[in-house]
Amino acid sequence: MAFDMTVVKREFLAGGTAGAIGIFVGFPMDLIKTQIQTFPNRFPSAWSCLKHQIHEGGFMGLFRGCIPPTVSQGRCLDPSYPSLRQLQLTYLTFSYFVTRFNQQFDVCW
Amino acid sequence: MFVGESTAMRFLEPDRAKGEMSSTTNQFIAGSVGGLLQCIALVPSEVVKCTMQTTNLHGTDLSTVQGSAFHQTTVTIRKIFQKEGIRGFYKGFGPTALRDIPSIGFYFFTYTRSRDWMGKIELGDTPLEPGQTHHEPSSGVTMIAGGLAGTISWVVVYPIDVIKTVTQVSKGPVLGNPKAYSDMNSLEVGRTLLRHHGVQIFFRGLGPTVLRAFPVNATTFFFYEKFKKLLHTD
Repeated sequence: MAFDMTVVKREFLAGGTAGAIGIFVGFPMDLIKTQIQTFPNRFPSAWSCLKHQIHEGGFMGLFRGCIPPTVSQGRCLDPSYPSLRQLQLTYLTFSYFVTRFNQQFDVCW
Repeated sequence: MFVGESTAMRFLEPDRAKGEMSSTTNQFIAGSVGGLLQCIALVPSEVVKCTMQTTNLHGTDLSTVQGSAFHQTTVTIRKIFQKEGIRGFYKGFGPTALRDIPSIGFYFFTYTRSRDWMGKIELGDTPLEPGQTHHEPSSGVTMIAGGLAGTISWVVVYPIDVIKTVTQVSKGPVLGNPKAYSDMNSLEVGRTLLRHHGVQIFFRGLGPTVLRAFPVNATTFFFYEKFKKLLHTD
């Protein structure tokens, strides 16, 4: 079965851009989530955690650690972020060429 | 993820006409395939991100790295590598996969189902324009469906996410246990957490997560549909 590369490309671009737009919006919330999960007894509430973080590291400190998820295709610990699209595209491209090769030379694996 | 899902969908239902509803099981499988694919590169980025997020800015250990965000990231990566080698980047692979595979299945399932359902309510009786095979959902429907999808998929897997984060970032032996969380399997981590902190530990931080998931996913799906249409026309 051949892959329709134009469709794949369209999905790739649409998903990638959409994910990139959403990425920075919620990152401070993600920091709070990770902090609260890791230090359950340190903060009485999410709000106090946020205040503590801003006090300690400033507003920009809320965005520490945002590069790795951006590099792995725009994902901030959110199952909803499009991620790893690059790898998927590589995989799809590979499958596409294998399929074309099979058709071209009538290979039977 | 979006690519994985749609490609899996085309595999599962190659003859499905556009606009026709696909089966629940296939939607779920398609979503899960997307989830499995993304774990491989996701886990290292999660480890680095969580490490950076939990280090005390003025503390010791891996933190107190001055300089640009890029510099901080490279230093963190180098330190993890020096300390634990390549294995250090794959801490928590199990819980991440356990979290992402059902979560992404739920995500796309909720999205497509609620979008189609709300679209039907919204446009049920409007006649189709010539050349149209189905009604395009409005932006409002797309956004609400996206927000719902994000929220529901988070709530379902949140306890596993707690286990994942703890496995990836905690250091040293646990109270009353010679092993560190990073050396335990997910079940042991879960049991130890339950014993020390009670069941509420598995839901700490769910509030801000859900508060964030709705708007972020609404935006994501809004742009996703917009861009797809935009790219489709030319």
